[in-house]
Amino acid sequence: MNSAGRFASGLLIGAAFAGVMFFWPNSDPEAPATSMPAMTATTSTTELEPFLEQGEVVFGATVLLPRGLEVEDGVARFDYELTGLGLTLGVGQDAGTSGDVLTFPEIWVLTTRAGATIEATTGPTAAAARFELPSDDTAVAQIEVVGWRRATAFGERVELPIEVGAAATFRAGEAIIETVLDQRNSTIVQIDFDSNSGEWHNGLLRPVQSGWRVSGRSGGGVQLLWDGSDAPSSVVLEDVSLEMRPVAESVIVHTAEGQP
Amino acid sequence: MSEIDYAELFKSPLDDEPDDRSSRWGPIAVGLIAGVLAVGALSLVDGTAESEAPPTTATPTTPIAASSPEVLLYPPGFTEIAPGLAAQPFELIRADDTLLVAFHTAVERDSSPTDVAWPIGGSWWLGSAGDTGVESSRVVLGRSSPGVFTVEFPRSEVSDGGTVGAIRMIERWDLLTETGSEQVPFSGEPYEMAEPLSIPVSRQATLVVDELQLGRFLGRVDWSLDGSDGPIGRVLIEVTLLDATGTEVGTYGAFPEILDPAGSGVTEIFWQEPFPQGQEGAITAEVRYTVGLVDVVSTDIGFDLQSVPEGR
Repeated sequence: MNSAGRFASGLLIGAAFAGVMFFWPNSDPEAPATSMPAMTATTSTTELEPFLEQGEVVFGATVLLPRGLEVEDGVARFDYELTGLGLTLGVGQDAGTSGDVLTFPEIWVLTTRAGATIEATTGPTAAAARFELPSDDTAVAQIEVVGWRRATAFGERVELPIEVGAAATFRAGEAIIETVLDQRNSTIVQIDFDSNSGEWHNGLLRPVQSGWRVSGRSGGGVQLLWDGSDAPSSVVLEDVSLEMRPVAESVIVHTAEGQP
Repeated sequence: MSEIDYAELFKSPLDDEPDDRSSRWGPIAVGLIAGVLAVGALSLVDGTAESEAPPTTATPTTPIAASSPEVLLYPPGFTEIAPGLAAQPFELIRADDTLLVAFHTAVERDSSPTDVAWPIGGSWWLGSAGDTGVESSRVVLGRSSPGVFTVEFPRSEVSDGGTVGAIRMIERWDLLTETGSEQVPFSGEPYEMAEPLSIPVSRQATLVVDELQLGRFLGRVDWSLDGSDGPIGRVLIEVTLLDATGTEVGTYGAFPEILDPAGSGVTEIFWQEPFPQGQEGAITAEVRYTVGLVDVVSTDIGFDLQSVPEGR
């Protein structure tokens, strides 16, 4: 055998020796003693780490985080938090806080172990659902949300003649021209907005044509200004809004055994 | 045919060296040390990797997983439309003269919803079950939240023909955001800026403040974007008043409202703070701007609409 061969032999022997020393199971003297592992096949698997933690519920772009169930004096109180996953302006939010809640639970059903069902409702800012339990039946089997509200963006455009009393109908309500002030070098148009859907639909009127300017806002209404003596006979109004539309879909958020 | 002496041909020059004891065992010893060192180094690398890996509960008889867990970046059902942002269609709405596809968004896992840009807009394609399709007329963001948006299509044979198959985003609007400020002299309210103010915000675009009017409670900024490519963008402007020492007296801010990207516009601003203190003592108006210039990016991202519910 030449020198290269002898070097190779040494390399193999050294590697084998070191392999035994470094990789022998339980070489750590402090490790608990276990039996020698059985022969196992090495497999190549892809584990998917779930997006949600145990018990968390995602509906749309909102996550419902259960915070616990308390039953006391015949009332079951299910605490939760909502956190938005979607893009947000971040208005009024500290850095690192949750995003806009664009979906929220509205109608809840609690089922007792005896089979009674009790309904509760909550709004967008609620943090707990309360259920009045039957006096002799306070063991909770499960809680589910059966009705949600989900935000949908609308941008409706309606052309409105510049006349007192002219009206335009939008999803969120009706825009009515209350005043037209034709001044020498400008025109002011005051438009009121009668909302017909309360908290479920927030809109914002604005003119589409660039010549009209917003010079004031009051409630849902808007005051428009046209500079110059050549005001057009109509304005195209746009109502850009978010409508909280009802969605019927059942999601279990609590079971007697713990979180689903 | 001549016979070749292969042993002679392939022999090493070292084979001709004297065959003493040290030369015979030297290469073996060197190889032995090298092997120990190499495997030792390998074991150290392996040990480091193990120390960073999540704890495992595998028993000795459990097969060893060869790969690390893959992390889901978005909730189930969402599809990435831009770096750090995913969307999901949730409702198809047939209005009087339009067909709307409503979406919601989710930012990437562990990201802040306030820190991700809004690349929402551009063009979308609505396809029927066949080969026909129609391009979107516009994209509407909620008044106060970009977390939901609606893609609007004109009613057509495609939208009214029964089954709407899929929607594809064919163009995305990335926003190249530039911020900065420029100062002008302030002589008290009511104030009108003497001449237009031009502010280069990028190599392609200049923000021109055509008019700046400041009153006791309200103000107005007329602005436009100049550039050879007809730039459009989301423009946010506020005006801060400074006294002779450079200390802030107060700020006119804009209502937090989402406006469509445009090449020009009017920003209504109102005196925000410190209310009800006035503008006395201010000698400088600082125009602070955030300009999100639209950069059109071609895409081809599809969403199946077959299982999306319809509403009105």
